[in-house]
Amino acid sequence: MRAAEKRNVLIRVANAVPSRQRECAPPILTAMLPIRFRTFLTGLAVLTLAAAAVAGQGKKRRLDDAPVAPPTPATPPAEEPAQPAAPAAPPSPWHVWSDGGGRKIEAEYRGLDGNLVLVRARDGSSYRLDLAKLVPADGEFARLMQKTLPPPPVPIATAAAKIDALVLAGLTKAGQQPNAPASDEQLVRRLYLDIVGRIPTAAETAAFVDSKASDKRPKLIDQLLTSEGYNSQMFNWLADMLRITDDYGRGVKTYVYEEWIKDQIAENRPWDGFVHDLMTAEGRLSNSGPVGYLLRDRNMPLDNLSNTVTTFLGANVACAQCHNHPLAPWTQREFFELASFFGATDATAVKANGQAKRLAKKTDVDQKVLIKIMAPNLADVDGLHKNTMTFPKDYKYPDAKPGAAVPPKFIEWAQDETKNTTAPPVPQKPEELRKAFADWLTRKDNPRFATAIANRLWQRVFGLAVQEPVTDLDDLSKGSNPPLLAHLTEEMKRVNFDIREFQRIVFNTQAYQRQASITPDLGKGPYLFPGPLLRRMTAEQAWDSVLTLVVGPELDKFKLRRADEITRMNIPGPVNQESILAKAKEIIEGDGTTGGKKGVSGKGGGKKRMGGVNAEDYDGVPPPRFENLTLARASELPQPAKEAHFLRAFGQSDRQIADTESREGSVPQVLTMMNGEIQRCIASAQSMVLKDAAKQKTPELQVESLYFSFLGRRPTIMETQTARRVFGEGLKLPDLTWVLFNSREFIFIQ
Amino acid sequence: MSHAFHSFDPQSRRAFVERCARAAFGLSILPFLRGAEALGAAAPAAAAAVAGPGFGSAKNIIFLQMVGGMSHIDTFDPKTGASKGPKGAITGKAGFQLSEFLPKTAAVSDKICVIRSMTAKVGVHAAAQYVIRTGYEQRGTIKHPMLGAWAQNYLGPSHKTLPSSVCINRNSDHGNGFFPATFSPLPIQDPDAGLQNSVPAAGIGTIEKRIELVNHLDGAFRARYPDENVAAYNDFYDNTLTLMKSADLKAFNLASEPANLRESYGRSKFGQGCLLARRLVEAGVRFIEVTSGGWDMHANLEESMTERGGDFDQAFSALLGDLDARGLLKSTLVVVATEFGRKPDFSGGGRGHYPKVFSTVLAGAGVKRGYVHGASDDMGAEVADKDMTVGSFHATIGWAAGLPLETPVVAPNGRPFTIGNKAKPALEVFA
Repeated sequence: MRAAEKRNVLIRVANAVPSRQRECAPPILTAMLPIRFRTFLTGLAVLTLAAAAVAGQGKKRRLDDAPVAPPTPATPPAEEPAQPAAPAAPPSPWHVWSDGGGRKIEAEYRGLDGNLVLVRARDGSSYRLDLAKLVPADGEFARLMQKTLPPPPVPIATAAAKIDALVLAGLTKAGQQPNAPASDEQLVRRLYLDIVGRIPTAAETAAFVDSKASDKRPKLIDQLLTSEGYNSQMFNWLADMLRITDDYGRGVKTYVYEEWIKDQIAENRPWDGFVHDLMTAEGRLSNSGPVGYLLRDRNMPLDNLSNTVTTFLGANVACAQCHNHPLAPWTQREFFELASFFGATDATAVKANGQAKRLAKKTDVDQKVLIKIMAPNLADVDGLHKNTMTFPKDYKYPDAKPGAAVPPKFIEWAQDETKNTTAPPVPQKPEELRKAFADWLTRKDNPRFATAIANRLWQRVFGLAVQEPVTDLDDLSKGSNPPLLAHLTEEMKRVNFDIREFQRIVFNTQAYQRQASITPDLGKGPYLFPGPLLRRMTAEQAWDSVLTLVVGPELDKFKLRRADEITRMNIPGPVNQESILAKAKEIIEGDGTTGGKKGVSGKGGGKKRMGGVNAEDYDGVPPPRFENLTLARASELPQPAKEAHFLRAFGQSDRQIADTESREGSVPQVLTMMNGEIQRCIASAQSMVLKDAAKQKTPELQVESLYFSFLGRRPTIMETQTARRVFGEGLKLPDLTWVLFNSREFIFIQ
Repeated sequence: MSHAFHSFDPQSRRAFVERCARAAFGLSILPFLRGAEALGAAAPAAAAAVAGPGFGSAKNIIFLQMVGGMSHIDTFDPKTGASKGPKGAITGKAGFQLSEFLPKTAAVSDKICVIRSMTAKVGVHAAAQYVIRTGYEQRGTIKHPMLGAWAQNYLGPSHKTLPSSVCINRNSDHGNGFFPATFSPLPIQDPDAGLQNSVPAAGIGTIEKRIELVNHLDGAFRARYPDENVAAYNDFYDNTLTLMKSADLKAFNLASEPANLRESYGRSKFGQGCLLARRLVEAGVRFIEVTSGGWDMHANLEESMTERGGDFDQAFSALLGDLDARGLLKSTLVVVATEFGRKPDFSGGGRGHYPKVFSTVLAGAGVKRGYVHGASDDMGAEVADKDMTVGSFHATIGWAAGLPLETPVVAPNGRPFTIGNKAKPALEVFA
């Protein structure tokens, strides 16, 4: 039938189709491959495919950049050495596809894109078939395949182009134009700030701007995404979202949780696994990181659920805790049914102070030591054998009795037009409820999980989410560009929640790489992303940028490590008076032999300097200091910083309510910029930016050096002349650093 | 919107709220909404036309915000039945009862007016805090101003160099709403530290020269990006320079206060914040917000109230006494507010969120002394008399400040807004 077959090819398939085995490798492993190697593999595959396509039989086809014939069996598929154990053999993807009129084609299923199924025939030709024109059995087969087989990877350029097309469609529909592309100088500063959270040094700027390589942009993006700075930046972003604080009160410190999060970021843990861990964690703050999430709202499980659903699903359900929501579809009953999944979970922190005091009196052991041991051990999350969730006593709706037990039930989004996902079964055993919730929350078919994180990541780098506010995604038709958000959702699923890979695609879009727009008046209409928004740096970006000026890019090596202070307090086994006292003995004796350097008891405690960190809190070389400032990145300082610190003045959140970092100005903030320690630090003798400028031979070159360092560009002739003039009038280089530091151009990201 | 609506049954009330909320925001056909007035200081003469008891009696406002939801039963509205809680009630100087947790306040209760019939709908912290701060429910498309910004709009700045609004123990968080960025409160995160970095080491002359250079060199950037946030920063720099040159900067420095007075307020951040507020009133700052956190007492209520309530009790009573002794109380309105109350059901050692009933306090200015406005039922579960919404509470404060409540302001998005979202002030609280 092949000769007579008609191809329903609607779009040339531009994907490189690699071998089956490479498809099966989960993205996390491919992400571990050096990016260059992966690009090489794709290139190799492309060349091989091109050769195969030309040589192969089949219909005449235009060869696109990435033709789709597979490598011939003789060519060994390029793949990573380590493969996960193959799962149980999936059903064969070969199928005979038929349209209503009697035509058939035997082809292998390769992917499903809406109503178009991508197939590859035995001769290597690829086609997109419209399911609407095929028999129903073919549609069922395609959907079965989609569920059981992973899709082929998509080259970065293709993925980026798809996003660009959707952004452009949105603009065109509204009669708007995209902005012009950003210049190299604008882009390099923006990329450094958005990916690694700091401005580039003069050398880094020059390296990029002067490079003639045609692929310098994707290369820089990949280099930055796999550098330490990325981890620091992502931690700051998550810290605001998850309300990360060092101290849960009453001696309970969360260093184990914080470092667990940092480890997850460094390992590029996929978002679904990360969130799943937060929901299902068990253990104590002294030995388990992720329990920190539920314990953030210890003793307030309803508030915690409210935060969970708002943050990870964008469900505007918080008000339903107390009554049926006046404007959203959620009822109080639905809220409690969802909360019931945590009804057999106990997330409490028992107060250590009172007990420690009594124990200290009884046994003469230092009370401070006892508190340090008891606090993290008594903050724990564990399971109960019974579901204790009941409807509140003042429940006023007729659909349930106040005080009655609440059967757990997953929420459904009635707003969605097609509800083609069925909720999973609810386990009978109370012990399994929390995991069932976590599974439902993080699975690909959850109607909002992928959307919520995709939307937030877009907001992070564009300055506005596709749908604002990010905490209300109940009605997806309300966003500024629903097809774009739907596509971003699918992309997040396609990359299996690899948020680094997702961001990689976004950074590579033309949409991101355009000139910035000024703050729009949203009252006049939605913002359709002709470019990213002109944004002020976040507090952490500003601080880290100042540090880059003063200390240089070496600052990534200063790492805060305080978790071992807590884990050494962990009591193996049950917590009771004996085990506490035994641990106390161990700690006190241990401190004695180490001379109490990191000791808890008595003198060895170490004076906490202003800013709340010691040199010993850092791994290896401690960061430099200037007056009262510890010159480490924001992610390696106390969380949050103390109120008087530059970070807080600049808008770092106090982490009491999620998503409250601020980019507003204020008089105290400006006073800090003009007269504060930080400004003296930049102008000080140890400041690298000043040292680099002073090395230059002429005033013109000195000015140029400062401009490159602060603003990432060469000064204009006017600017150089002005600088020369004021030098003649008595101003010096340190004055110029003050001027550049206090300019709008410095703190805003073009 | 009038008080008549509040007597409807819950279903109708809810339907009403839905209708209002769905309608074009703020543009319903309400009778007193005459021509909208453009942004800017309205003629004070218009205000004089609606004078009445207490109108304009507050030259300054100190707004004490209890963050987390202050339990009404364990503070200003004690109960004896099943909802009693860990402590009993004491009779204050004015004859009405307060919780045992607030003995010092009870001793000066002849200075205060307690409102026991506050009622609201939102029981979620962030959303409810927004409501108590602005009188409006949070929206994605516009930010609403705090009372200090409203006052600055109608009455102009309260001082030549000092800001008209200050907020203590918190950040400013868009307190200006849709008014210019310079109307946002100046944040003092730590009252002990005061206003840091206000003295330039290089001297003000050098600073001015440098600022001139900044404006010159930055010109191209600002021209290329006529962005409202960039413009806001320009304004902040101007205002900061003005403030730096001001002799009244010393108002921010608590070290000038005698140690025993500082002790009498209590050494908590809230206590010292109240003292700073008093200084700022004297210096001419019109609106000062002081925050006290930790009121979200789901558990350990007794311990928390002993601590937090104790800090509050000491600071509040000291503040009233201090203002009175200096003759400032009659022109200063002291407000105690919170985002919601707490449940009558005292279980697990604490209480849950409860917006249906809560208490607030007004003291000073033209407010009745030693007075209770409104009431809740025996359990503290429902309003029994004279319910007051947050909008009405704001309107009442606006009345005390002498603001023209019925003169709307047109925000940049073209919509008119009034203080308290067109609610009426509760004139019965004024003497």
